[in-house]
Amino acid sequence: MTEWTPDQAEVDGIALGDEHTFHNVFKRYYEGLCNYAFTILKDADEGEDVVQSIFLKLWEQGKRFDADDKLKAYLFKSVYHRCINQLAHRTIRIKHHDQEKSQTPPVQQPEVFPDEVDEMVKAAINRLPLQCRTVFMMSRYEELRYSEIAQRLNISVNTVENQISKALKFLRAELKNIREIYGHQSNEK
Amino acid sequence: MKNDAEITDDLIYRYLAGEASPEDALRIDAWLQAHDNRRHYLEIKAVWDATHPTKSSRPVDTASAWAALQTRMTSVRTHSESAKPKSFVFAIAASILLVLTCSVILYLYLNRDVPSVTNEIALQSGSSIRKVSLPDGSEVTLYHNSALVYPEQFPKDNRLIRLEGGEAFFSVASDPTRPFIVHAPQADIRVTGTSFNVLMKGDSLTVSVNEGSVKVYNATDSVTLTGGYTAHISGKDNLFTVTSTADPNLWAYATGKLVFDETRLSEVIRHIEKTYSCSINVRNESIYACRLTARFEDDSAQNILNLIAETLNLSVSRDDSVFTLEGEGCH
Repeated sequence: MTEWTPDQAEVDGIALGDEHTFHNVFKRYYEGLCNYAFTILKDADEGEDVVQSIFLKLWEQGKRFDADDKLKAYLFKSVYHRCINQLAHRTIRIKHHDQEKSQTPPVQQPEVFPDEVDEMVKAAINRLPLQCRTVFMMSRYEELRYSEIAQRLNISVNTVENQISKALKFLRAELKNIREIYGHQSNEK
Repeated sequence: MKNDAEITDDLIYRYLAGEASPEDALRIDAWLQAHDNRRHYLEIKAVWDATHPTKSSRPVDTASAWAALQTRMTSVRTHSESAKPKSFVFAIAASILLVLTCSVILYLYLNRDVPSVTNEIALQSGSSIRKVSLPDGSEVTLYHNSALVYPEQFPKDNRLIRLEGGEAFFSVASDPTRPFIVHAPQADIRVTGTSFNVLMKGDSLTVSVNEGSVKVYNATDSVTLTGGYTAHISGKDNLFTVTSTADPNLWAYATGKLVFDETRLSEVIRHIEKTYSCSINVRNESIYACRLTARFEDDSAQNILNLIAETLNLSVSRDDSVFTLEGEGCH
């Protein structure tokens, strides 16, 4: 899958000024970084833009890394920071909008499902215990961070995390057949 | 297999929810290299995706991303990569230092509107139309195959972005303390708060103002435009020509609004084709002579054509993204 071996890199260091090396690094990490960016931003185009900007900057600087693990850490950290930064912009924009519209604080609507969610999936989510469902929907549909959910519901981040895990465990069991619908790989049980 | 015991399902849930730290994401990325791990991950991801199908990630096309990046790489390289041995170069470096300093100062002076330190975000639209918010709340809609660069944060005395190609519609948030400047190769465009369209084609630049006041300038000429006016500059003489025919339909791709007032169908079709990236054919040339008076806002191409067909007693058929109008035309 990858032509460039980390061992060689440990001898020479990874010089991103060399286009061939740079291309190999890009091929190896681009997809993984975009997937990570997507999990934070929930938008594929924005995610790819962030990752491309990071690579472009690396190219501009012609940075040199001692080893693969340092390079990798740098890449993932950069993605994380830029994405979090971008989320902060969105909040500012939404706040401006809200200020124009109404004075009352935004009402939480954890009960609203997006149109495209299948009836079977909706039913499964509705069978979740109350707090579990609320937390799950705030994360999934209002795209709130765990810390934001914790603050709004006056619970700990740990609790939020546990509730999400609980929700997903439950949904995985309830929706065992969903993989056929969404067309992933083999039909193991 | 390395560190498998540490990649728990709980960690995967955190990752999918967007709460994974970079260290965790890194370990997951390494863990996913193994086929069985990937399969397990995809099973969980399928459930996550099922709860919000339109917010699923799309497959990443590394090859075309690389191609897109390459075009940006050549224009951005400003310094050479290899470090030369110091001893030999030192004496020469000392003697040319003075000359270099002057060149650098001149270079920085000539490029003073270009931010040098902040992180820049590069935006390309490719085959889609993209709308984004800039750090100050302004909005930009990029038409197909267009490219824009802007900083993560605007400094406190200006808002500068670069349009590198294509076409974009800007809706600029009002901020009298910070002029908003679009830097294009042929000219700069300066506003404090307003909406306007910029089109770059080959060597030429066309700026059309929707609302507000816009100043377009370069080394040889400058002009101030208000709503309804368009300035055009071609590569040849770098002088602006101003016309008063800014047709808002030209940026319907951004605003979603199409307005026709006894407009010839040939023109109506041209605007619909641009806004919706479709192709519209007519079976009978005299259909082009028909006139339409109508307003559309955030409609689909199909709905608009259905209405046109009904109004003008025509019929419309469709094959993928190609529509065909037939019937008796007009005179």
